[in-house]
Amino acid sequence: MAAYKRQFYPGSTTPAKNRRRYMDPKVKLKKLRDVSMDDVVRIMGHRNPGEDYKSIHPPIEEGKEPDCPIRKLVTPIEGAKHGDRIRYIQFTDSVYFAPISPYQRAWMYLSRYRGIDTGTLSGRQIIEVRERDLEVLAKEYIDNETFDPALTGIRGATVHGHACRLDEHGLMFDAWQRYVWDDEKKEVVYVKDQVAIPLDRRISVGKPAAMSDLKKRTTIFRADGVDMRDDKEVTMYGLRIHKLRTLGGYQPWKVKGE
Amino acid sequence: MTSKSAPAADYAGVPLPEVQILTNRLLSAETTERVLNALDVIPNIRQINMTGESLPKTINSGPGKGLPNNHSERKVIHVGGQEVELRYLVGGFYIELDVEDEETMDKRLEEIKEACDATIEHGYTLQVGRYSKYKPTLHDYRSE
Amino acid sequence: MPKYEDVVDLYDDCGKRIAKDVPLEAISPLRNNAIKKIVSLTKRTVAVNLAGIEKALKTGSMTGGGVVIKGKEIDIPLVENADKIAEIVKNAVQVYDGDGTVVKVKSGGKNLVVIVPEERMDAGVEYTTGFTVTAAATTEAIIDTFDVPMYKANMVKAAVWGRYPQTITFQGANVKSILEVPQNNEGAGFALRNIMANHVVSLVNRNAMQGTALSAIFEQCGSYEMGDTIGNFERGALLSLAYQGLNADNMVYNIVKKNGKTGTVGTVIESLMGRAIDDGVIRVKETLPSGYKVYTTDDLPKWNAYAAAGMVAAVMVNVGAARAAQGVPSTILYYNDLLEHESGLPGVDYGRAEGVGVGMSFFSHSIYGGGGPGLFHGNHVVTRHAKGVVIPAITAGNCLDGGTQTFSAEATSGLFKEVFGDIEEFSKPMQYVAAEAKKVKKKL
Repeated sequence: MAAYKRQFYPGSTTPAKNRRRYMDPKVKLKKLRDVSMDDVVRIMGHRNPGEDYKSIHPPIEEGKEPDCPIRKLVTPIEGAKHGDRIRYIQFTDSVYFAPISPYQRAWMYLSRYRGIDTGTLSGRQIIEVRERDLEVLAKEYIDNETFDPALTGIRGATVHGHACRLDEHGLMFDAWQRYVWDDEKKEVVYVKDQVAIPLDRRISVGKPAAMSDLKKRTTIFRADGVDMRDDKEVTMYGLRIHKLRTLGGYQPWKVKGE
Repeated sequence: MTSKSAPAADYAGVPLPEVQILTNRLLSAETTERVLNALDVIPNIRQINMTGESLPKTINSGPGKGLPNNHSERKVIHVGGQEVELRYLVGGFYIELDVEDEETMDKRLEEIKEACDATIEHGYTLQVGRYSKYKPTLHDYRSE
Repeated sequence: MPKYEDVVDLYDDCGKRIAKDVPLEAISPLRNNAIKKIVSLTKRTVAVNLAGIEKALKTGSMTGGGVVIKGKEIDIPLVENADKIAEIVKNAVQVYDGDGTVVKVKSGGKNLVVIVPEERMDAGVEYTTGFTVTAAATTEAIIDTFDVPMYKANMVKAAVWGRYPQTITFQGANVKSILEVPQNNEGAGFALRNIMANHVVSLVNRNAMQGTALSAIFEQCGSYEMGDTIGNFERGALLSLAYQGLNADNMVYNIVKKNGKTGTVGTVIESLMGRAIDDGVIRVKETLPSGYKVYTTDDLPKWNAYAAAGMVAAVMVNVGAARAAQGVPSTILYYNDLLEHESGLPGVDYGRAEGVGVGMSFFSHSIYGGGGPGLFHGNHVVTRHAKGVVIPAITAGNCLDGGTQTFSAEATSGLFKEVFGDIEEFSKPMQYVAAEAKKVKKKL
């Protein structure tokens, strides 16, 4: 029998299609900018560029791990092999048609990466990975289409802003003003790292996208965009799972062909 | 909280009307200053309260705790020759009108709309009603 | 006649078949003697930390909480005299020769492992017999061997038993049981669910497959004990035990093997869906206009067991690749959510595992204030709801940690590894249960 191919998510509206696209590891996400790796490291603030990686345990050597068949089958990621610390990057996504919303980041990360720990909180999504692997991932997700300079924030703490009105330049509110609007270049520039410690240089993350473009790219259902209730497949899915969980929680053996 | 001893704000025998203006975008300090100065010249305004998103003076958590925040919009603005210290990125105004008849109120409303149209670039919604407390309630007696 | 039509092949931790066409009932805790023995040993096996007692008596520092009792210190060489103490303890605990009592000296006298005879368990109703008998025998052995005077004898009691009965638990005791005191169980039948994942990690010497098996056995026995697996519910529990815990039809091992090198949680779901379709467990109910296929099943309990096996595989792949246990709750949460979106069928334990993943994510990360995933058990307030299926996945993840956890198994449960590490019923449950299953099969 032919190998099963994932279908990811129901729905025929734009947000539903976009969700499937971000989740599908076969889709190469568009690179929209190129923030240098050193600048990504600076914004995260876990180490200085060029500094050695600190470790939390000795490197993993083959044959010296506990005797477990699963360890033999599962290859550790690079940072794990070196015993790197586990560090994080956290993105805040505005409700105003940001390219992706926090919860879908989890689906996307776990469909595209291995060896990660991620969590959705109010308005933001943290991802924790061994440091050297984190840096690769962080650069990818700052450079690619899931990031918009105005509507995505890199925020380790005081993340408040995802449901706030935008400011007059169209930037998501940030009480710590980690990034500012450069009116001459019409670009967003980071002046503080993700926990608001001032950076010694200004790091541009480029020009924000137009709202008309973002409405085509977003995964967010909104009454003033695409209403989730207008996607019958998506609403059917929610009701179906709710019903089956309820029936399964009662007498699962009686649920047949539902 | 409303103090029991403060005079109730109902000079006309009814609570004074308030104009609620919620802006579609959060306003910079400069815009806030312009809006307030445009409102300042309108007669019959008893007081203006503002709301918005709080801007802390210092970084209040994490490894940078205690560092100055240096938010460009947290600063002193000048309204009608007076200094006002802004601690918010303002997104709402509550303008209490000291008016006794609807004719005056409508006139002032028009002036307020004109002032806002000239200063608030990204639009706003405006409603008239009463949005804040104007006389003591049971809670104020209880908590004294 | 077997009660259920289902038959499974059992495979060991290395993916080798060790029992063929086993009827589901043969792995039931009610029929399988290996499981019964594991439960029995769990109650009866107790560790005595002689070095700890010696230190406590010498310094007066005992019963936990920084308590030091000055002026009544006793300096006696317990570790040196471990053999002698062991003999006295054995004579005291044993009912008759050959009753199964075991007292072994471990780590050069630093520890004793005591297995209390069934006779003593049969003559009482509480599993605490293992602890109380051993603690009392050790106290008496020390007092007698070293002629401890009456007014100092209470120090020996405190060094052995800890602060109990001033406390509910045996706080600061130097006798340790895998089980908690009954007063700490959240309700009826929780005893075998009140075993920290880290304890199991230690008992299986960090073998993730065996850890999953042992946790699944403890959890499902707990389900039996709390009345959850009665009547029509039994088959579902046994299917979960088989597929998730005992590597039935080599599903867990095969999925991990296929996805171990480059796979993600997403590809594990892909493998599981393929397997469930090929095995006829699920089928397409309808295809929606977008092309999305809604799947359905005529056997929801079996789908649930498949999903539970996939969940363990997802943890093994994602957490295993990180060699870091902290990703366990998020893997449990999003695996289930992704699987539900993929299939249109409910996730593990009909949605409960996903819910547990949410709460556990919060409780196991520093935003809440500490505590790693290894500290969780089926009696914990956030993990107790998905009975039987979540703790095995947590244990699997903790087995695969490479040294990132403050609350590692070595730190919280090191004694169990040292003392119980060579008891094969605990370290190789898959083989033991399969061997016994073959015997049950012949009887059915």
